[in-house]
Amino acid sequence: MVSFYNEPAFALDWGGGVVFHVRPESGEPIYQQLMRQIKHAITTGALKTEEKLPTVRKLAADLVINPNTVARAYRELEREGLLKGGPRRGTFVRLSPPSIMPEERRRRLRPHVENLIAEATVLGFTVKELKAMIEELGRSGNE
Amino acid sequence: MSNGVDQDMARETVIRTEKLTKRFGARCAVDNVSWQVHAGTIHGVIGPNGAGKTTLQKMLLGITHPSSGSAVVMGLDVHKRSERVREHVAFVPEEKLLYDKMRVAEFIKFYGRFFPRWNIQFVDELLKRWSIPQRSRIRELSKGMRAKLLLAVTLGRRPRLMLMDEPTIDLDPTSADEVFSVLAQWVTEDANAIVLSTHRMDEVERICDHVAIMNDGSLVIDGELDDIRAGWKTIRLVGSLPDDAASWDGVRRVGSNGSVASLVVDAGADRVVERLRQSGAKSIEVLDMNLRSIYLAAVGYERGRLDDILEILV
Repeated sequence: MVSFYNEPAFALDWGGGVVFHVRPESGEPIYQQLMRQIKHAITTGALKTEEKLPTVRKLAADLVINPNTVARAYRELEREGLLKGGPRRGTFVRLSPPSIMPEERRRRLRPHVENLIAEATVLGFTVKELKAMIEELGRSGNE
Repeated sequence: MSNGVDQDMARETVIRTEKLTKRFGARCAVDNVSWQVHAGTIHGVIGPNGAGKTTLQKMLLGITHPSSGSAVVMGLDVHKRSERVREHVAFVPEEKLLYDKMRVAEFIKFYGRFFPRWNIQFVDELLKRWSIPQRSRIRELSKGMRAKLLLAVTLGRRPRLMLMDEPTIDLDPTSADEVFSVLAQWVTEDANAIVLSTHRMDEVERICDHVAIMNDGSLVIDGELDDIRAGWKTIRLVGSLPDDAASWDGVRRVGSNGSVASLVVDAGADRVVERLRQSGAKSIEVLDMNLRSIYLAAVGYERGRLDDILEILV
């Protein structure tokens, strides 16, 4: 068993090469950390449609976190339409992101972009410069 | 309050206190505490020494009588029916004194006779899982193994609620993980509950779903840990704060150091950020706060621990 005291963060590889980290002391709610990582795994294709996730019990035991926390992450992602499942059958990846309705995707992304533009403007960047930075970072992120 | 009603319908209430108060002479050890714990949850209770955590636990066990208010545990009034309550509630470490000369196997047999709901299979299974040899004498066990043995027999009594005081103090990190995995499963799968009193914020952040912060006998924060973490934020900015910022909704603390100012909010960070933008603030950053920072912002400040406050704000 991996100990959570040895390192500030540790990773769990539960087969299929997907790795979850939990940093309880970071201040970000743990269920949100898990949601973010599962979303990331789905968008990068590390988790594929219809792929099964570990059970709540297993993931909680392996990460030494409260099972209610894992259950909440799964529940929220089910509500967002990314996962499906129930207590018996297990939890599965439901959709890859492009199959979510386009308007819904826009609606969810919009506040993040607005924030980004506000920050960039305050720091004295033009939208063009911001765009260039996004393209640059986006390219390295997709490699 | 309406929130509590919804939860009641979904989940059994294991602990319910109403205005529970304990005075020792002029000092109020527990002050007007109204608190609920539901089945299937793990509550961390944190607070400085002398905040009232131990007195609260003792009242829940019926060991200490309240000066006023009430405590209902497993549907039973603690102070009228404390014997019945103690069938369902275990306090760990209740018995630090284990029988040194006995072998582990003898001890668990002996111990079980006192408890009607005793489940020896479960105890055997736990001891095997935690590699505690049943043939050893108790005095030959390490401190950590004794702590685990104590926990195993406590779980063997099949309580519905466990009150724990610094349960991992004798455990090495690996053992603490092993114990918490078992406890978390025990709580969530069998709809039991744990109230964990500790100074270990890292343990609370990892394993508890609810947190109660006590200070001077009162509950200063009580709720779901993730909701608390989602609400409390430190906001940092370049520039000076509007004069009335300290009185804005949700703002708990304000401070500044040179050209950098900060606020701590317990809710509504987005609204506060918007107001700051309108007042011309620049480079606004919203930072997550861990439990330690939240605790210090809620408790430490009043105690005048300036260094801690600077750590949060700057």
